[in-house]
Amino acid sequence: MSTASAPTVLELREITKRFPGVLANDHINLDLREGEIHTILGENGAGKSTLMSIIAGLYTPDEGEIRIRGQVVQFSTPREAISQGIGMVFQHFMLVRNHTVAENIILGLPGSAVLDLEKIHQEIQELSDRYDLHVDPERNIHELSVGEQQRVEIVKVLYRGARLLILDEPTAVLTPQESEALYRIMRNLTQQEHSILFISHKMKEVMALSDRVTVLNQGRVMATLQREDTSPEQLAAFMLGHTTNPTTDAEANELPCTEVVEEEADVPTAPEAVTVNPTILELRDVHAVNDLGHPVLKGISLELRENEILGMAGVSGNGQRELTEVLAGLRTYTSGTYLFEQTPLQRLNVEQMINRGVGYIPEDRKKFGVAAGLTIAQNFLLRNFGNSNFFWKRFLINRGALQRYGREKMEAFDVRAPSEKTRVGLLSGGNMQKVILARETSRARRVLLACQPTRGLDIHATQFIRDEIGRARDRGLAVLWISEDLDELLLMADRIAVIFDGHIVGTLSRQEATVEQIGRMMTGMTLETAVPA
Amino acid sequence: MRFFFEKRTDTTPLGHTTTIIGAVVLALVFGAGFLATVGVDPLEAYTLVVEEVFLSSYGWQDLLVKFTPLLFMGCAVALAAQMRLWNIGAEGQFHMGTVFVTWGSLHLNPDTWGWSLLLVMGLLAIAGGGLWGSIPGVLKARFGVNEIITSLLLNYVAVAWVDQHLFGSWRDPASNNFPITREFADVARLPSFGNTSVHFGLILALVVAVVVAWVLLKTKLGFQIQLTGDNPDAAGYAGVNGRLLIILVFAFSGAIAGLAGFSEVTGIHYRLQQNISIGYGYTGIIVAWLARNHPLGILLSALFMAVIFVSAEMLQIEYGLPIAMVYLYQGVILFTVLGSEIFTEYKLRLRTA
Repeated sequence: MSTASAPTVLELREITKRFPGVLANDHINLDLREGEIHTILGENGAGKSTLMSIIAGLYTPDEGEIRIRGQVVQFSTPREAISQGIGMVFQHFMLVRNHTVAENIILGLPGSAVLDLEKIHQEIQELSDRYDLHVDPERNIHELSVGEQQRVEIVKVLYRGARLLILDEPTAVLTPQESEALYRIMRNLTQQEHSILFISHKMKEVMALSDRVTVLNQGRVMATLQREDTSPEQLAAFMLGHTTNPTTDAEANELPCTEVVEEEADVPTAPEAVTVNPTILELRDVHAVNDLGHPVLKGISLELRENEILGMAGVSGNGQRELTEVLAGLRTYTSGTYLFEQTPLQRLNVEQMINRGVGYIPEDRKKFGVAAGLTIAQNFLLRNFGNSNFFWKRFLINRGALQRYGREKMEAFDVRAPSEKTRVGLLSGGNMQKVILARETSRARRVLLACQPTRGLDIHATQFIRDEIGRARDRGLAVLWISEDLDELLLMADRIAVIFDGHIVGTLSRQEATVEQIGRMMTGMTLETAVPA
Repeated sequence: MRFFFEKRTDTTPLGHTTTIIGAVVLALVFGAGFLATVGVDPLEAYTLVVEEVFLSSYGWQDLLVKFTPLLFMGCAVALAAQMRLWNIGAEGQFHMGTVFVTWGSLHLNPDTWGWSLLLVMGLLAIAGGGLWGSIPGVLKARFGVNEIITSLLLNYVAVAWVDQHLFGSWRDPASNNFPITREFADVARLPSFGNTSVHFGLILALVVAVVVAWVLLKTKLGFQIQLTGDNPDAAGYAGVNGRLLIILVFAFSGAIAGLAGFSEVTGIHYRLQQNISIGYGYTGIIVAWLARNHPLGILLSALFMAVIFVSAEMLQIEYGLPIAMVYLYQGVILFTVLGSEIFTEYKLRLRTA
């Protein structure tokens, strides 16, 4: 099913976009053929999002031109892009939860004052059947799973007449099974002459789905390759900005890419567990409610053991965030038992947990982890308010000690910034996370809660953070590592628990865990039913 | 060809200062226009202002007298604003301070208390302003009520309470029915500097400004205030007791405004009467804003607003202009400063295409 002879639907010529201090897109050339899945690959900050935003009409390029089926076009609004048949499915869904699927789809569309819902439902149903999307126009959004909501977003752009779809990391929020369903839909769409620009970090799906792959690095196109003519190793090399073709095995092995990392020898791996390590923290049948007062933890039982990483798999929104908040003392639990080194804890507060030696890397690093307007050094004061800390002279800040400490930690954790007086808000995601990591691993004595510690980070930062948390475990800490990246959990965790709908569905040792089995458990199947036949 | 805004990568204090100065100059130009419409030669008026306000001893005295309450109020508003809390209630807290102070002067015997009476009255002002200020604080911390609304509405309550006392039991029988209290005893008055009208309240205000700056920049409490102001979620994550901090900061802010009331009644009027504050609490918001809530910048912005007050007062006498002139200038300045905000974050560029 080669698309090499298919007509070109979209052409980008010398697209350049500058932001203050950054050249986000540097003379980018790209073309998309009819019926093609064209993957855009690149590290964070490589310019993918900017490029997609230009195509979708959210940004106007500073230079260059866009042609659609040979015609030069200029978009200044997303509406103009849609009218040219370009639709973007964002990573974060833009749906009104209390409205129906149909209402969400027609929202913002021009139409007559009186809605013919009957007709609209029918049209949506037809679209859904044609592309096998299984979307019921009459259901409310809040009843739908993440995968279903994503399909609503796809219907939304198709309903607006999109022939060219941009999918921005669509599988980042899906279970493996839901991802499989999406792949089928994508193939279905391209067979019916739609074209897809596909953004992804996951090498496996890139290799399985793409017709062609374009790799971006620092705003430039490194290469555009036919899928058949390339390999994950080569793509990873281009992503990192290596222009030479690393075909030898020795070189490929040196690439710090996730696919290759597993073979690397210096990754701290789990010590062979012969005896069961002593339990530091234990939950028994813990219940809690979310911010809206709805039950979100429905009887969680788990143990965090010394010198051990407990990985937690699960689709986000199944209680992970609330679970860590309970463990960190930010959220009270409604029933159950929380034992910390055999002491039952009833009234939780953050300070108490900090004093007990709990470090916490929150899921949303910008919202919770740092104060963006304060300096790097000042951010080391967060969660360090105890008078015994040497940054404090009684209730006064010991500025000199703090700045020295900041410099030391920046050095040790490879935080790239002009100085310890740089505002944290100016740092990249990876450097910001390193500041949090430095703070939390330095002070945690017993437990480290790591929520999605590597999400959205580039390969270098990811590797650094994995190593550092591995070292924290080796120092004897009990680590809870929540991630949606199953490969990461299989690489780093000693045991893996799967959370679904506020329950722990099951816990597996690393030796017995497989991606397939965890994937099934993430949909709520128990350990027994999830065992492959 | 068209203009567009480009985000600045570097926002410097120098850039901020230049912008503020530009905004003030613009306000003076607008003001000149208003003067012209009421038949006053703006150039002549401004010249007169410079002569009478800056080049005369009386002008300087008056300037420092007005500077004192504005410095208090600016500090009160800025302290709360550092935590992104809006204390619109400094005016009311000021009035509560004056009520508590006056209670002290009327009920405590100056012969038995002696000079310590002044100290007790100062503490009463702190208590009055602090309690009044903590009401919006508690409501916000406990029930999430918007502090802008509650602190603003409490102003009217406080002013009415002052009136109730003045028209009621506190009225001086010898006042020919004027709503004023008896004069305070000599020991209940702040000393003045020599023969001037500048009183000890000025020193008190400067001390408060330094203390506020010190707390904010050097102490753990100040750091927690800044942290909460920058990112309340991160503050909660970091173990800051946000609710307690809201109440505490509002109480402190109110206490400072209460001290301003103390300074005015014991330093100038020596009695409680109506209109002791000519909107100092509201002007304090402008003072804090002009200084970007920076404790030391408030010294400058309070002085600047004092200049506006005194100049307008002078124009009032010289040309028979109404007091509304002061509010007009305040309004125009706030308008231009707020409008100029965008230039500290963005630069205006010309696109030719």
